[in-house]
Amino acid sequence: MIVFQEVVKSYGSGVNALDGVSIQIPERDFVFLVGSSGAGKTTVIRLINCDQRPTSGAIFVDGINTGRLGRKDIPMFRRKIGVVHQDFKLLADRTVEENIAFALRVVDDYGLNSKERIHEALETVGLDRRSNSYPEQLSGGERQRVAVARCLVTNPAIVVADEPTGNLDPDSGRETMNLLVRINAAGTTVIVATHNQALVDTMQRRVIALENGQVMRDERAGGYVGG
Amino acid sequence: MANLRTFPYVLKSAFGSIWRNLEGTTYAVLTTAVMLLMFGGFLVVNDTLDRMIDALGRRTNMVAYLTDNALPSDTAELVTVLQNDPNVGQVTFISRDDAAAKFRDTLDELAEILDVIENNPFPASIEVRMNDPEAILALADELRSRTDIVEEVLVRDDVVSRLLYISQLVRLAGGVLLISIGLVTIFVIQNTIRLAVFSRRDEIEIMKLIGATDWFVRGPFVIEGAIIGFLGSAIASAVLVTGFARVGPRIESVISFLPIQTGAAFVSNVSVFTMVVGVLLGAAGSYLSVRRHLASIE
Repeated sequence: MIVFQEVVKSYGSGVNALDGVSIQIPERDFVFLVGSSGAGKTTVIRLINCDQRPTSGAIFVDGINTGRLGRKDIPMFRRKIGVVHQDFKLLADRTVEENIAFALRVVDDYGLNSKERIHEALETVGLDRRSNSYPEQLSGGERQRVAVARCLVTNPAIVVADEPTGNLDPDSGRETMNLLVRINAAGTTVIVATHNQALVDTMQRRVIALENGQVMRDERAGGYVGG
Repeated sequence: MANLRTFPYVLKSAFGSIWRNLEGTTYAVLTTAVMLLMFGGFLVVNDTLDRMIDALGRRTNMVAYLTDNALPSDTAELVTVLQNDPNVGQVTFISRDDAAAKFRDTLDELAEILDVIENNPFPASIEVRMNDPEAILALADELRSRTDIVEEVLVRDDVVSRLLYISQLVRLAGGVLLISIGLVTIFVIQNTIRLAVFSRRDEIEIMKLIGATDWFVRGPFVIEGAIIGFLGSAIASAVLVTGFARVGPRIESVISFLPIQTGAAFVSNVSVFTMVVGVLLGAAGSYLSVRRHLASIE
């Protein structure tokens, strides 16, 4: 469960990126965060991942008040959360397999069965035959799927994706989104910040619309534009 | 440096980073080598000076002349106090009769003077030989304050104080030099590692997002810095050992009074110490560099 209680986030420019946001996202939920640029979508993602701290209000992730997390506790906290970015954030000098193995090493979970786990994650995203390729040898969609596989291999309880289809063509975008839906069906909470109106409209999932740092709409099964 | 399981990976990352930044690493290694060569050289100079002071100090006597009415019990007590002083090496009590006898022995032709004088004119005295020459002036002052039994204290103040002054000056200069060497070495390694951190900033960002601990991020850089320190100090040690083997005996033969140590044990001690310092400075430099970077991200 993710809970935002009257969360305000200010970057010191006088304008609040988030201005009194209160939302609840139960386990296994699939949520789209929509809104124009600067509406506060990325800030919500960064606050969930503890990449940012709220200026006021409280955020609870799995019962943990992130505002009170010490610097040393953040790494363990982040291991509960998988993050997918618009720009993939893959290491260019490492193969697909090495990129995923990297995640296991970082969370200190690289062991005897790691090869199998990596293979499994690549199979889930349909890239098990590209394990020896380098990111530059892959299409944008494939790179994003590698990023998702890197996310999956550590078994996070929550996956947050910030504009995961932003750099992809419509087909690759749809594939990536379907992948996130499958991950959600397997029991993972998925939160997707997106501009992709067509996908949001097609999928008819929970939509939280932000505008000027405030929640304008929270619909159980809605489209990009409320109606 | 999370644990033993991740250590091979951390080590591999460190060597990979060195390989990627070979030019910067070479520059850092050579600068560290020059700095540590100065450090090792200073250790040799300092040791030589210490030995000089020690040798000269041991030859220095202090004599406390006692008053004629000093009680034997007070004198015995003072001798005991001096004997128990760890800075004092040897204490010899010379009675008035002993002094007169010594005069007769050493200045045979003047011995008749003593026969003319009715009373023995020589005072009793205590001769003190120091273990720690640096303590001689303080001890002399202490003895002078015992006016009840001490008439006068003779100490070769000029030689001792000049020697101590030079020693203090060299130590002070050495301290400043050592601190400067340490700071410059840390600065050079810090900058080299900063470049390595910059070239791997994306990797660090991903690490942190996935949930890497600060130690997991720091580990490879700290090891990289330690390796630079180790290589630099190894070069410095090699130059020191070779230099000693070739130049040491020549210096010894030309300036034989200088107690320069050229033994293998001493040279290897200096080398080992230099290498330990090199590794520590390298690790410290890179630790500071990564810490600064990590502080800027969360």
